[in-house]
Amino acid sequence: MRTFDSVVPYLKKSIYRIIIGIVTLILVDVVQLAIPKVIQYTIDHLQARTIDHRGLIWVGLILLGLAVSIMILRYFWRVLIIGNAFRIEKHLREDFYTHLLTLSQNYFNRSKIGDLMAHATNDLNSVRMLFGIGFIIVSDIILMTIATFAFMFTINWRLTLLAVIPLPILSFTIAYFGKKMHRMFAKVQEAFSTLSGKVQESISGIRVVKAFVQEGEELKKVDEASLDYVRQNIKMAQLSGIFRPFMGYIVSLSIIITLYFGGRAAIRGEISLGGFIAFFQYLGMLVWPMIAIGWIVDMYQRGTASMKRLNAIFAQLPEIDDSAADPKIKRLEGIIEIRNLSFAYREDLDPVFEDISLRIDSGKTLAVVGQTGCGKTTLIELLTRIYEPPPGTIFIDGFELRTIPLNVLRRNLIMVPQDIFLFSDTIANNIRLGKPEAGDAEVFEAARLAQVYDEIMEFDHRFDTLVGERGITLSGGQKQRVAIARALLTAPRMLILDDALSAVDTKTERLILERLIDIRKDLTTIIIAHRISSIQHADNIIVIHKGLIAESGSHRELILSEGIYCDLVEKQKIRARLEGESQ
Amino acid sequence: MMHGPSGSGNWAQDDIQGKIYDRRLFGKLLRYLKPYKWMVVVSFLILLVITSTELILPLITRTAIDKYITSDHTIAIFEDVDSHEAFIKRYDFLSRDEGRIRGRAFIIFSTKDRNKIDRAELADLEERHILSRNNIYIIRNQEDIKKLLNQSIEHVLMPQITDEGIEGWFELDEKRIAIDRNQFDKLDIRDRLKVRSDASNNLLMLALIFLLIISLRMIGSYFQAYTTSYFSQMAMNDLRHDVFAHLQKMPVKFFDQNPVGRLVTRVTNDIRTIDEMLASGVITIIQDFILIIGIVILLLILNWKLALVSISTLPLVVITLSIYKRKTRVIYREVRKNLAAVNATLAEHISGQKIIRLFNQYFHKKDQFAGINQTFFRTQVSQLKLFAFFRPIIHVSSQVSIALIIWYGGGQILRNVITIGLLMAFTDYVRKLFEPINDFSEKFDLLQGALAGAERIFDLMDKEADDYHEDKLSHVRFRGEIELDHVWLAYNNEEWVLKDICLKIKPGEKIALVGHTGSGKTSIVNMLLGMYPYQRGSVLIDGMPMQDYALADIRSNIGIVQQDVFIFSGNIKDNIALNNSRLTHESIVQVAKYVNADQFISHLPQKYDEPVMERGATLSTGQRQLIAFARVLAYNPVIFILDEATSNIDTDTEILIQDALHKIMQERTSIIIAHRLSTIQHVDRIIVLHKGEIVEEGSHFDLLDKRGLYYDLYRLQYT
Repeated sequence: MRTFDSVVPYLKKSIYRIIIGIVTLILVDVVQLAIPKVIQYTIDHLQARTIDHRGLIWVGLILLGLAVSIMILRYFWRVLIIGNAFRIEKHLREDFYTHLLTLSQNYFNRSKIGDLMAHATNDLNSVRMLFGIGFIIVSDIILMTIATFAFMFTINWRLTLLAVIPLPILSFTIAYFGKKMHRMFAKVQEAFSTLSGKVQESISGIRVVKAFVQEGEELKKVDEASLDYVRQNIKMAQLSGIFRPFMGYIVSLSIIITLYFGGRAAIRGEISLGGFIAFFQYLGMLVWPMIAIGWIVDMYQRGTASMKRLNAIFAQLPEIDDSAADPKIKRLEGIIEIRNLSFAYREDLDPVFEDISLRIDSGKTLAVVGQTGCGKTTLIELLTRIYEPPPGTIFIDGFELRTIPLNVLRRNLIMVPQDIFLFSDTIANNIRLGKPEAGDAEVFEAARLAQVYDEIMEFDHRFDTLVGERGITLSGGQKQRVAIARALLTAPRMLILDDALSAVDTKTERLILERLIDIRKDLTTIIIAHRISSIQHADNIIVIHKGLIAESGSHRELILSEGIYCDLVEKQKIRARLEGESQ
Repeated sequence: MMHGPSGSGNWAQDDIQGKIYDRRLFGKLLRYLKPYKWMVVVSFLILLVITSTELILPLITRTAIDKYITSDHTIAIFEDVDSHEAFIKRYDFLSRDEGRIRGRAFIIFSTKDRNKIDRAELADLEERHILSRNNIYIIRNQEDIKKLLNQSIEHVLMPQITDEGIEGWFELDEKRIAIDRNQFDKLDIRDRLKVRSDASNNLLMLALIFLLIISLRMIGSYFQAYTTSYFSQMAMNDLRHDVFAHLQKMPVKFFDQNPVGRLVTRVTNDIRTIDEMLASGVITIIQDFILIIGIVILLLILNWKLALVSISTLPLVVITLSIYKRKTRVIYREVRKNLAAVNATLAEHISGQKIIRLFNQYFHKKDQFAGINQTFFRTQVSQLKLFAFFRPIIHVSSQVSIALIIWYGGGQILRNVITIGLLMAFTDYVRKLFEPINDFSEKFDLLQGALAGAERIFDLMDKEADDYHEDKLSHVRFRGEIELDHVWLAYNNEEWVLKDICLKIKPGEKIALVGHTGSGKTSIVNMLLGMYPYQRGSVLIDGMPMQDYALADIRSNIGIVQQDVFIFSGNIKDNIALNNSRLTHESIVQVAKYVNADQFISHLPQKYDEPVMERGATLSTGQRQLIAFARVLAYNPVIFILDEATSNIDTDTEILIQDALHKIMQERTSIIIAHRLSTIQHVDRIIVLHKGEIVEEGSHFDLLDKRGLYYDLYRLQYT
C-alpha cells in the first residue's frame, strides 16, 4: 500500500474541482504578473510625457480591474482547492471512525483514547494542510517562479541573472535553518514536557510532598526545569532572531544588486525607467515562492508521516468478524451451553478459566457469584464475543458461537455491563440506544420497569434531560437503572446483568428483580451479582472460584452445603449490619 | 466502577469570550517585568531603530531614481536683469543654485523647490521660455567628457530654452556641464555611463548605504529578538516560581477539588501563552503601530495631497475589516462548536465502542457521526467562503490605492510637481502600510487569550494558601504524645466525618485504627498531619496545641506510609532519600537493609540506581511498600503512621513487611490503619471507629470477647 492510496479515490472524485482550481490559480498568477507591466508602461510614458490625463485614468481603471479580478479568482481557487482539502479531511475522518468502530476490544485495550484522538485531530490536520495549502504552494512555486523569471528576462536577462543570485541562498537558508529550528523546537517542546511532567508529578504527589516537608526541594526541581525551559526558549529566540532577519537580508541583497546594476543599466538606457521599477516588483514576487520552498518540504514530511500513522490504523483488522457466520441463522431461542472452556487473555498470562462447562435452558435464570477478579465478567464477554472464545466451546441453540452472525447474536443477547456508559444525550435517547425507533410510551414503560421513571420525571426536562457534562450528573444507581431500562426496552431473548444493581439500594433492587422475574418468565437471563439477596430466586446459581465452577445449585442447596457460597452469605450479613441504617 | 460519558469533555473546547480585562491584571503582569525594565527599554529602543530603517529604505530607492538614474533639476535662464531680480525678490526663500552664463543669470531648481513657485507664475515662466520644461543632467566639466559629448551633441555657448527643451550641451561654470535629458539620449549607449560616471558612483554609494542599513537592521533585529525573549522568559520564570510555590501551599482540600491536569495547565500552558504574547504578540503590535503612524506622517510630509489620495481607501478597509471580523466571529464560534461536537462525539463513541457493539448500533451511530461530521464540514466551507471573500480585500485595497497613486501622481508628474521616484516611494509605502492591518485583530485575539490565562493565574494566586506558621519554626523534636480532645472534622460544612473524638496516645505507644470504609480512620491521620483543618475541639502534641507549631515541624516529626505509595520518577535511591542530600549512599543502603528492601533492590539490574517510572508502575505493591518503609526510616520520625495497603501481597513479601514494620514501630509512637490480622497483633491498643465515632477500644482479644463491632469487622476483613 502506498502512502496516499486512501486519499486517491477522493482526489479522483473531485478531479474537476481540482482542475478548475489549478486553472484559476494560473490565471491569478498571470494577472498578478501583468500589474508590473502596466506600471512599467505608465512610468515610461510618464517619463517621455507621452501619456495624458485620460491615459492615466485608463491605467488606473486597468489596475483596478486587475485587482478586482485577482480578488474574484482568488476566491475561486481558495474555495475550490482548500474546500476540497476540507472535503478530503471529512472523508478521512469518516473512514477513520468507521474503521475504528469495527475493531475489537483487544485493540481498544491496547490503545489510549488520547492517542486515537490525536490521530483524528493532528494527523488529519496535517494531511489536510498538505492537500490544501501545500498543493497551492507547490503550484505557486512552479508557476510563479517560471513566469516571473520569464517576465524578468524580457526586461533584461543580464540583470535577471545578477539579481537572482542571492535567492537560491534563501531556499538553502530556509532548509538549513528550518531543520535547525525544527530540532530546536523539539528541544523546547521537550523542555516543556519535562517541566509539565515535573509539575504534574509534584502536584500528583502533593500529599507526600507535604507530609515529608519537601515543598522547598520540589520547588527547586521545578525551578530547575523551568530555567532549562527558559534557556531553550531564549536559544530558540536567538535562532529565529537570526533566521528571520537573515531572510530579509538576502532579499535585500537582491534589491541592492538591482538598485546598482539596474540603475546603471537605466542610466545607459539599456532598460527604461519603467522596466527598472517593474523589475523591483517582479523581484518581490519571487521572494514568496523561495520562502515557500522551505515550507513545503516540512509540510510534505509532516503530511506523509501523519498519513502513514493513519494508514497503520486503517491496516488494523478486526479480530472478531462474521467470517465463519452462517447467514441461515436468523433467530435464537436462548439455550446457552459452555463446553470445556479454558481461556487466557494472552498466552503468557495465567488462564482465567480451566475446563468450565455449563448449560442454561431457554427461559431459565442463572446467577453467577464469586470474588472480584474471579472471571465472571470475562465469561460474559466471551459469551457476547467481546473477546473471542476458543472454537467449539460456546454454543447457543446448539450453534457454535462463531457461526451465529454478529448482528443476530447481539439482537438476541443483550448485556448490561458493569461499567455503565451513558452518551451525552437525552435520557430518552440513552434508553433508546438498542431500539432507536422506539416510541415514548415504550421508553417510559422500560423506565418504569427499571424503577427509574419517577426520578426522571422529577428532572426539569424529564426524559429530555441531557446527561453528562453538559447536562446533569446521574447518581450511580440512577445510571444503572437507566442502563437496565435500555436493556429491557430491547426485550431480548437472552439478557445478562453484570453486577448491574450494585449501586441500587436493596429495596429498589428487590422491586426491579421482582418485575424482572415476572416479565422474563420464558426468557433466558443471567445475573452476576455481589449481593446474594439479588440472586436467591435464580433457577441455578454457580460459584466461580480459582477458574473453576466450585459450587452449583439452588440457593437452598448451596446454603446447606456450607461452602464458599454459604461463607459469602454470612459475610454479606455482617457487611449489611455494618453499613446498617444508612440504607 | 462507573463511567459516565468520560473523555468527551477533554475534547470540547470553550468558546473564546470577548472580554475586556481590567488594568489591575496588566499591573500585576507589569510587576513581573519590573526587574528587567532596562532590558525592556533597550528592546524598545532597538525596535524604534528597526522600524525607522523600514521607513528609510524606500527613500533610498527614491533618491536613486530621482537624483541619479533620472534627474529632478530644471533650469531657468533669465534674459534680462529685471526679471531675474523680480524673481529673486519674490522667491528669496528658495534654496537655489545660481550662477551666470555669459552674463545671464540662471537658477537650477530641484522639483521640491520648483513646487514652491506659484502655479500661474510657473506657467508664465515656461511660456516665456525662461524656465525649461525638461529636466537637465548636471555633469562634471572634464575634457574627456566634453570630447565624448562633442561626438554626437553640439556644444552651445548660450543655451536657448524652447518648448522642446534646450538644444545641445553647455557649460554652467568651470566645474559643471548641463545637458537636457532629451539631448543626452543622442549619446552613444556605451558612452552614457562614462559621461554620467558621477551618477554611477553615487548609485554605488547609495547601494552601500542600503547595505549598511540592512546590516544594521539585521543586527538590531537579532538583539531585539534576544532581549525581548530574555526579559519575557525571565519574567515568566519568576511568575512560574511564584505560582508553583503558591500552589504547593494550597490546602489539600483544594487538590481534592481540582484535577491535577488543570493545575498543571496554570503553571505551564497558561504562562507559556503569556510569554509568547510578550515575545511576539505585543512587540509586533507595537512595531506595526509605530510603522503605520510613521508611514502616514512621512507620506504627509513628502506630499500631503498625494498622501491623502493614497490613504483614502484606508477607512473603507477598516470598515470592511470590521464587518468581516464581526461575521467571522460568529462563524468561527460555529466552527469551534462543530469541531468540538465532532471530537466529543468521536471520543465518546470510542469510549463507548463496547456498548455500541453490544447493542448492535454500529450503523446507527456511524450515521449519527457522519451527520455531525457533515455539519462541521459545511461550517468549515462557509467559513472558508467568508475568508476567501474578505481576505483579498487588503490586497485589493492596496492595489486600488496604487491605482489612485498612479492616476493622481501621474498627473502631478506631467505637471512636474512630483518625480517618478516619489511616486514609486509612495507605492512602496502604501504596500507596507496595508500589510500589518490584517494581522492586527488576530494579534489582539492572541493578546486576549493570553490575558484570559493571566486572569486564571492571578485568580489562583489570590486564593488563600495554608498558613504554614513559618514564624514558629523551631526544629523541635517531639516526645510523641498525641491528644485529641473532643475533635470534630468535616470536609464540607456540617457533614461530620469525625464526631467528638477523644483519644490520648502516650509517647512510644502503638495503636491500630480499625473500622469499615468511611469510618474516619484516614481522616484522623490526615488531620494530625495538618492536611485538613478540624472545626471543633483541640489537638495537642506534647501537650501543646497543633497550631502553636510550624507545620513543617509537625510534618518533620511524623513519618507516614500511605496506602497507595507514591513513587516519584527517578531512581530507587532518590525515592528513599526524597531530596535529602545529606543521606549518603551507604546510609540509604543501610536503611533499605534494615527494612528488608535491600533484598529485591540488589536484584535489580542497576540496584539503587535502577530508574523507576512515574507512579512506580514497574514495582509491585509490596515492593513499593518496602521502599516507603525505607523512606520513612531515613526520615527518622518520632511518630509513625501506616495506612496499610488493602490489596493482596504475596506471602514472602508479606513476611518481610511484617518484620520491617515491627522494627520501625520500635520506640516510635505508631498509628496503624490496619487491614491485616498480623499487623493488629503488633499493637498495644485497638481503636474501633464507626461512622466518625470511637465505638470500641481495647486489645485484640478483649474486643473479640465483646462480640461487638470489632468481632464483625474481624470476621469480615481478617478471615
